[in-house]
Amino acid sequence: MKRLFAVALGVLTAIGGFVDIGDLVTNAAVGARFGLSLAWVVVVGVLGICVFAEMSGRVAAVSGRATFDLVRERLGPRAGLLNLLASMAVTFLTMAAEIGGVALAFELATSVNAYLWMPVAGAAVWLVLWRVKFAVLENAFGLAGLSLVVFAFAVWKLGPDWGHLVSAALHPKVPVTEDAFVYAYYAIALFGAAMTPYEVFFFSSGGIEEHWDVKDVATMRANVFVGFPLGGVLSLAIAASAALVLLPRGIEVDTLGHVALPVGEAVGKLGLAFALLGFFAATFGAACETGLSVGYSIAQYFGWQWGKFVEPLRAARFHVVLLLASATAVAILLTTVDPIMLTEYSVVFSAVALPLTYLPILVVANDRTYMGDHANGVVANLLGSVYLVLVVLASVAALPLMLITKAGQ
Amino acid sequence: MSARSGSTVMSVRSTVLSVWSTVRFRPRSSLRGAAPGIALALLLSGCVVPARTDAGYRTDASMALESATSATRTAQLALQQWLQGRMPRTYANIVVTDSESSLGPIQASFGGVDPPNRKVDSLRAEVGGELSDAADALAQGRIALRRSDRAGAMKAVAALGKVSSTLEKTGAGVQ
Amino acid sequence: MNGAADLAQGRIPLVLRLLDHQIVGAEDELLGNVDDLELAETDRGLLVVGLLSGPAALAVRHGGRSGHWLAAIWRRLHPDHHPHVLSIPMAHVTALDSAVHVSRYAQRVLEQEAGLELWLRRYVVSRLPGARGGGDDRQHNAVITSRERHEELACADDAPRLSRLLGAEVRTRSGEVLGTVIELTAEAFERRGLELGRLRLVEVVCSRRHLGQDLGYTMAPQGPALVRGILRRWHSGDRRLSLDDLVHVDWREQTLTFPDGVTARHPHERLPQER
Repeated sequence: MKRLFAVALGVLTAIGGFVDIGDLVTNAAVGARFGLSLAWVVVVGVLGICVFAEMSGRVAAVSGRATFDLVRERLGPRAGLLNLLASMAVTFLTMAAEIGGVALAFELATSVNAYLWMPVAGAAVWLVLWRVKFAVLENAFGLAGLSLVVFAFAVWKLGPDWGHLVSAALHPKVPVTEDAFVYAYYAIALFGAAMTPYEVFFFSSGGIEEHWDVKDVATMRANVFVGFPLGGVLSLAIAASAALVLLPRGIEVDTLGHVALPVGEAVGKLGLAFALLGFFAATFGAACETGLSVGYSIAQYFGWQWGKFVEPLRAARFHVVLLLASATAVAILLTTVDPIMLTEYSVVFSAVALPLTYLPILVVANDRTYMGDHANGVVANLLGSVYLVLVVLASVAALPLMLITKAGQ
Repeated sequence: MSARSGSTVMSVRSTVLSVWSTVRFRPRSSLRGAAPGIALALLLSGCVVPARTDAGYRTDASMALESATSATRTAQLALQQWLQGRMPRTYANIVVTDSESSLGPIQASFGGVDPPNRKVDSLRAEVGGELSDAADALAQGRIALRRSDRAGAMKAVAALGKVSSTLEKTGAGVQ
Repeated sequence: MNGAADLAQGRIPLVLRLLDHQIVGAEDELLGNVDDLELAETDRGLLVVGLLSGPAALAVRHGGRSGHWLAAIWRRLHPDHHPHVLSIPMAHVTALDSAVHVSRYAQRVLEQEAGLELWLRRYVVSRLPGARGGGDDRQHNAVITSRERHEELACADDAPRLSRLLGAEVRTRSGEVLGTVIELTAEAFERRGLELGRLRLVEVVCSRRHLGQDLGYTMAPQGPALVRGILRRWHSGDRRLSLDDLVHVDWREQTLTFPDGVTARHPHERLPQER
């Protein structure tokens, strides 16, 4: 019974925790512009993050080593450092975007300007990283993030022609008004939004925070293979709601306020309240996860003590990194950069940086010396190899497409 | 003593206000709209983009019209939802204000492009006029919303609907 | 520890299984990484005698400008005039799995010499409210906040290190170049009870290709066919040589000299008696 409860809780938090500012903005923007013609990318991306997270979670549970430990081990100090710098730049950019998202959600709820909320949000994130227990952090925001289910409810309330919707999703084509390059660029952005590297840093290190071992592999798999796809359904619901309400009106998504417009249309005030709670939980939870990921990865590269499972004084370097990351993220936001633009760039750079951490994890998940019977099987390797190719292709194509399309204009 | 603390309060308040106004009226750039690219080009070329081809100019016009339509339709939708009690005023206020402030850069960047020849002068005038109509309608909506003026908001919704249709029609005819 | 097997059996590929690994204490305290290994030339051959950990050792591995800077910053911030790199004797290594486990003594030494950690503990983190507590209660011993020197463990500046061998040129007497060193294997020969003890270097693997050398495919093919196939092709020119045949090591010039006609096989090719 207790086991069942743990599995259920894990699945629920995985659903709610799946969506972050990148998923919110990118899915709504793509839905408003391409309808559901890019829905297949969400499916591909969600399966990808399942494959990647399952491998890294299994490696963490069996060998006790988290992602950047292994990156350093398998790439050496020089290539490992380059990898660290690239991955942390992306993760840090995402962290700033998430904190910006928290502030934007507060702005929508209170009408008080987002730039006044940013320092407050940054301080709150740091306070949570400093004081709140890991399990509380993970569960509270994950569960609150479930209120994004209101997007699925909105789609249902809008009463779309389901056959038409499904057929649009199943027969993807470039809309006549759009360029093929722009279509490809947004495909990569969606892929990057679903497969952000920080999710894996956080997932594997989080497993060690929670003292996973071989016995927990089954629970971890349930979280990944049930929770993440359901989280992906939320992403699709956001895209579908935008496709139903914003696309016909020619509305482009360039603020967080746009994302919830379809909810107001379909459900009304209460729905908007849920959407705002969901925005807050998703962005705040992800801000904590990205912040921790920065700390975890840097500490793991150097071998420092990290984690919230020890008292802060024992992991002073780790906690100083968290403090600096929170402060710097706020400083970046206060240059009045648009958090939504930051988000758009962060998802594309996520796609660029992905192979750097994907390959070492794929390799170690096959190392029988560490993994014994828990090494990758045939299916895991087949999927792993397919995604290795996809991830490399997306990474190589991302920057040229960004230049060709002027970031999707 | 009291005078001194009073002036401190005053100066703190004025600082906050000035920070407030700087950030509040910061033009929020549109993601896919022509604004950021053109704005950058403007900066690089000393505020005037040299004349290009006819087709290039028409593309600029159509992008400006598209972004403006997005802004007016957004504001219209938000006002409607507020009128129907589907959206709190705080939320609608932010959405409408953001839409209005996104129009400024669109107008500025389109206005800053030199028409390549006299043939497109009429297009320039037409688009420029419609963009300022859009700005007027957006301002009308923002004012009504901040005053909680339902009648004004209804008028603004009608005005926004009208200007949106015009923008769409012109946009369709440009290319 | 978790399910990871004991890796100290048989031949240990040092780059894959020891270098850059996490050093952990008795209760899984994270103490640093193995940034380099101290070697010694003895009449039994080349031995691994100690683990080097910390910024100074890492700086040497980095080399180039980033290494130079890292070393300079470390020297500048170090309280000693002429700081030494610390070497944890292999006798204090208790086990080897996915991490390197060390004795309580080694743990204390590493904690007491972690300058940055101690400084931040003392001047930053302990001043924030709530710096104690919040973790789980597995660790009862007091938190170390002040530095203690352990000069008895200083690694001589001119002591040979593994990083000098990595990238060294492997050539025969007549000057034929076989490649540069990418991996070395070693055996535990004095292991007893709780200590792994020193390791004797047995083989060297050289290659002309460096990309992907640390991924773990050098000694044995593993993993998904795609990656295995690419790396096998890429590293088809790798050669494994026995250090019994070694004629001479030049530490300054970073060269290893072997006799002409020395047996050099691809590392995946095992002789029947090695199976």
